[in-house]
Amino acid sequence: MKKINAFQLYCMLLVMIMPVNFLIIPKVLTSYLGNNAWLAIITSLVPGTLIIYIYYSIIKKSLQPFPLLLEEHLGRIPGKTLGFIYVFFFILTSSFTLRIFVEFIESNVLPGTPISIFIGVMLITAFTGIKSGLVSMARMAELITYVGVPFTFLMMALTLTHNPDFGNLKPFAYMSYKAFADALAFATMPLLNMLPVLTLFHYFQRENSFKPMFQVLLSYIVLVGLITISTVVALGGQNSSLFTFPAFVAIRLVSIGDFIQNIDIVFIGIWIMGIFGVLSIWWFMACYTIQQVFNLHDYRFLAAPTALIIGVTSILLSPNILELNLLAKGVLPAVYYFFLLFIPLVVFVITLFKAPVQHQPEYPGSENPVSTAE
Amino acid sequence: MVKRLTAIIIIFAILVSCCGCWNLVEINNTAIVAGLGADLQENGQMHFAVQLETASTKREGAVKIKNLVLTSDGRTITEAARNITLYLPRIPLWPHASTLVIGENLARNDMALIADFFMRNRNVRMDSDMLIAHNLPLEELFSVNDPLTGCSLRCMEQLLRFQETSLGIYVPVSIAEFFFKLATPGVDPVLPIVTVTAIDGGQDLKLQGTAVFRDRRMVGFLNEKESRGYRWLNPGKKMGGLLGVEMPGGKGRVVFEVVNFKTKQTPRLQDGSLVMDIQIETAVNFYEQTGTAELVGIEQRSNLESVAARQIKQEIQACIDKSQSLNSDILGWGRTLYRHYPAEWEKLQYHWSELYPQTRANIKVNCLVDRTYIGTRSFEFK
Repeated sequence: MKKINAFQLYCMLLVMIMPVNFLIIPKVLTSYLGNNAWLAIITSLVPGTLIIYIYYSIIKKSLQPFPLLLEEHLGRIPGKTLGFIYVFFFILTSSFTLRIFVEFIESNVLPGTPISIFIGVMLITAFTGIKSGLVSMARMAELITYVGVPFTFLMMALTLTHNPDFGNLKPFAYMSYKAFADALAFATMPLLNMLPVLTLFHYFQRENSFKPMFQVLLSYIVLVGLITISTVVALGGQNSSLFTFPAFVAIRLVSIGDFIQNIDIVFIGIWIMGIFGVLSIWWFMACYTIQQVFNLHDYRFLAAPTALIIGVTSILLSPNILELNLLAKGVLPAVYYFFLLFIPLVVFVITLFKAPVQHQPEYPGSENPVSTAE
Repeated sequence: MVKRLTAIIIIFAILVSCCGCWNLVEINNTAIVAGLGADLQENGQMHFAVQLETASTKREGAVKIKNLVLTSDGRTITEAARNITLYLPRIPLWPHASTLVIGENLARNDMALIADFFMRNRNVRMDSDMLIAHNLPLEELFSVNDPLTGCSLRCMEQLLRFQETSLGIYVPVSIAEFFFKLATPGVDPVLPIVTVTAIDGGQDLKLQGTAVFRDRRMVGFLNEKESRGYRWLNPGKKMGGLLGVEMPGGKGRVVFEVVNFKTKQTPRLQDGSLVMDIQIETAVNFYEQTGTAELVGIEQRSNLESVAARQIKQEIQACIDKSQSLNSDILGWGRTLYRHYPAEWEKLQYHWSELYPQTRANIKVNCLVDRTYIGTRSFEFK
């Protein structure tokens, strides 16, 4: 039986968190806190660690992967019902990821191109990823991490070459408590994207999944924190909140020695790789949850019908980018917190009264999703 | 086998249909834009000007005009810009424009008329240089051919950069920087002024002064000395430039080359009023003297340094005096105050236009004469 190793688990979880939030977080946090946006990201270490602990405790006391663990801890009917609802949630997250990708490309790269082209191309590639199995997706996540993380550091360094004003970071910690609380809640939200670990742990070679999760948390704080800082230094706290994707605007301003310019297209290429990773994993979760809820033999054949649902939902999510921004800032956080924190929290509380279990590599009656497609 | 065949067919279909950009434009159907211009007409219409680069064949050689100027009007800058396509049968490549020139009429009226266009339009590169055309129509400015390369606006980028490091008078301002300052409380923007000058029977562009804005309108300009002072306080590159001083006692003029400098501005609240402590640290090299006196040497060095420091201080003070007389916070003292005393700024920002002209500056310049190049003494005559 092929399994995913610790580094692959780290990569998959990091890919779940980084690409979308690379663009969204600086915008939202600067709109709340201006120049102090980075403080919310650093502070997310505390709630982030608690989230990881919740997921880790659930893993330690569960015999089966998500969504079967819902049945294990909540009972058959509530567990099945919740699992069924989670299918819609995973389709929503996949659709939202796809829509963010479409909006970014339409606004900044290829306006005028029908969005069906972008949706179709991205769905076909992610479809191929799901069909080829979990191990392929893990390797893909490794590749994205190898390319994406060094590039993120490079981008941050280059952004600081265009008339950096470190004074933009002042005044330090001058902000209202409410704005800070709102920003902290938003900065913590991406860490909830680690929920797929509740499924992935079952195919993880080691028992201790806390370490890779904590490494992801630290990586998130360092990467997104630095991106936010460099955006504020390059554009200013107030100006950053004026743009839809301020980190991208900062990258567009990069000019080194009047020689290295217009490097935004390189960023776009690598960012698309990341979006492909996020979409594939959320989509995998949707298919896998359907398989487990309905006791199906395999999940891969579900990729084709769900592709249509995800594609259409991504278009129906919002008629324009303004409403999409409202959705992203006002509605989706509540939905995300409910499904990615509240329900796991309930399961966590129940598992507090249970003893830790010895994990078995396979469980009866389910298809191993790790093996590659023939 | 069937699966593989299906996969190959799908991949082939994708490769064939998605290998090129959807909105592909052939180079033959495009026009390379060197620079953009925007002004406001007397009748309230927006005026848009564009300088296009034209290719020339070997046969045409130097005879061919190297650039083409097109103008159009419209109720907004977008409409004016799109009206260009009524007589330009090509797609203008806006991202190639390296310069944006603003007409003085627009600058003196309201920059809000174009701010949204330039901050929203993805086709305009926000790192392009921005300038003001002083007292002349954009067409006249854009029609000037650079004697060396033809396309005058394409040369503005180099002109701004070269003078910054060799002369050190004007600070290049990008579109992003200008509009960011318009949006940031406690700081007003400036722009270098470009004008036309006669040169060898023809005309060429010349930088001459710095336009000063208050809120969204141009309210005056800095002369050369004041512009030098502005650069000490708000530098682009913190290196390069010349510093010319008249030596006391009729010893002639000495020219220093600025190696590098550091500027620190710190606000201080003293007896209810604001004082800005300005600290300049600079290293200069002895470049030239016009008199016959022995000015280079260990004994003379401290004298040279104090004279140079005094000159820098005068330039800075001239800039401060002018900006305060125009009541334009181009030095960003309000923003500096916010960074150091945010709670005070919350109270003072509503009266900043009354407080700024009364703010005192405490200027300290520490100048170090470093090198004297290949001569260690002043030239000795017989």
